[in-house]
Amino acid sequence: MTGEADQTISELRSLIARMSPKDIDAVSSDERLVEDLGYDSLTLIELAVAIEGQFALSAISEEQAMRIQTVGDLESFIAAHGSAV
Amino acid sequence: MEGDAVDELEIELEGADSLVGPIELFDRWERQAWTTRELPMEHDREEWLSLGPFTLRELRLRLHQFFLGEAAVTKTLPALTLAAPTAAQQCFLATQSADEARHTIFFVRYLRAVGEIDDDDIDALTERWSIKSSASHSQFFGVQLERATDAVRIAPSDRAVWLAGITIYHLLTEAVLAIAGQRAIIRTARRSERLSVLREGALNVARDESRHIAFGVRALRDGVHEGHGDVIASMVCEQIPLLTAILVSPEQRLPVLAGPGALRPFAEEVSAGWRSAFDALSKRLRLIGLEDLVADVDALWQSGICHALEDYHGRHGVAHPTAGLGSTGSLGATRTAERPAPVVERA
Repeated sequence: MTGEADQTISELRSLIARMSPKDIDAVSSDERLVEDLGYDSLTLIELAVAIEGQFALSAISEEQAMRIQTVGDLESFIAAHGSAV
Repeated sequence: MEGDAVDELEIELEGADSLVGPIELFDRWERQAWTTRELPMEHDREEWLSLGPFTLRELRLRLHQFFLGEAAVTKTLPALTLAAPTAAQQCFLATQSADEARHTIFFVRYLRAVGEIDDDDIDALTERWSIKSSASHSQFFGVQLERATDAVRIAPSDRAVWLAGITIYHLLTEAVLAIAGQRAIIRTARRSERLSVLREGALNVARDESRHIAFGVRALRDGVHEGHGDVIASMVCEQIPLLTAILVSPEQRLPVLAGPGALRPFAEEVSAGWRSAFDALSKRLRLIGLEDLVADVDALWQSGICHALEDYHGRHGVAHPTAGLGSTGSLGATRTAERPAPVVERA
């Protein structure tokens, strides 16, 4: 993994931890956004807006969005579709 | 939560369809008086500063739109007041001018109290936010509303021209756009439970608007009885593409990443807001005696929403979140709106 990719994942995890409704300092790839980190529909939208603002993302379908369940899913998605801005 | 917000607003809107006369509405204005200075706006500041980016963006958009709308109607209403056919109507419309000015000041003071703006120069804010507003919003408030009230200024004794002005002002601006905007603000404010001053202020504004709507419904009903229904119908049909474009706001890109299923509740709320706006319009059309127009307005409304959704897709390369809700969900109009509205003649 490149240094740039590491940096992106680090920034993403930091953002996910900071915006989680639960009081947590760090997250790991296998943690689920809803069940483990306490995200609900509104906070997921808030997270999405923050991520779209921080990483340049191309448009995705609702079907693709529905497949994002874990921190690792988000990391893979951003690795494939975005970059830090 | 959505139900509570709607119920709360509906309580304030009680009386909007009671067909009372202008002097009774004047009395209501005296009884329901409020001031911006009574509201402890600083109370909301801490919560405002902790809002997430989505909620913040939604509230900023709504409050900027409201400010621009209120500033526009404050400027344009005097023409309708001066040309009102009776002194009693002039007295009520004078109270409405005071209301519109109060609403403008409320939104400026609130945004300043929560730290969004540094000054309260209304002219400068109007100029700054007008540049950022959507083409449909600018066209409606900056061109269509001004054109209708300018026509009244030029021909103050022309009853049909005055009724056209009341249609765009009291029916379309107040009963459709303003109430849809209040509904969205109150819904969002209730999500953040500590934005209590914003919610209280928005409900105060809605209560004022219920009187304005009541005035318009009564005046337009009288106009239909006098044979001016075609003027009112033309204005309504002409403006529907703009109304639906303002409601959908295709320029405003919504998040596409949210999952799993996070966007569906939001999309359902948005779609319900469009349906409420259509219901509000069709209900008043029946009250003023233009029930035969409702089917045409329904078709125009659905076409307008579809066009705005296509515009959204074209701009952003992705479907609007409401597109996945199915035909009745995304079109923002329902057949239940065709139920006759009760008419209460009181004056």
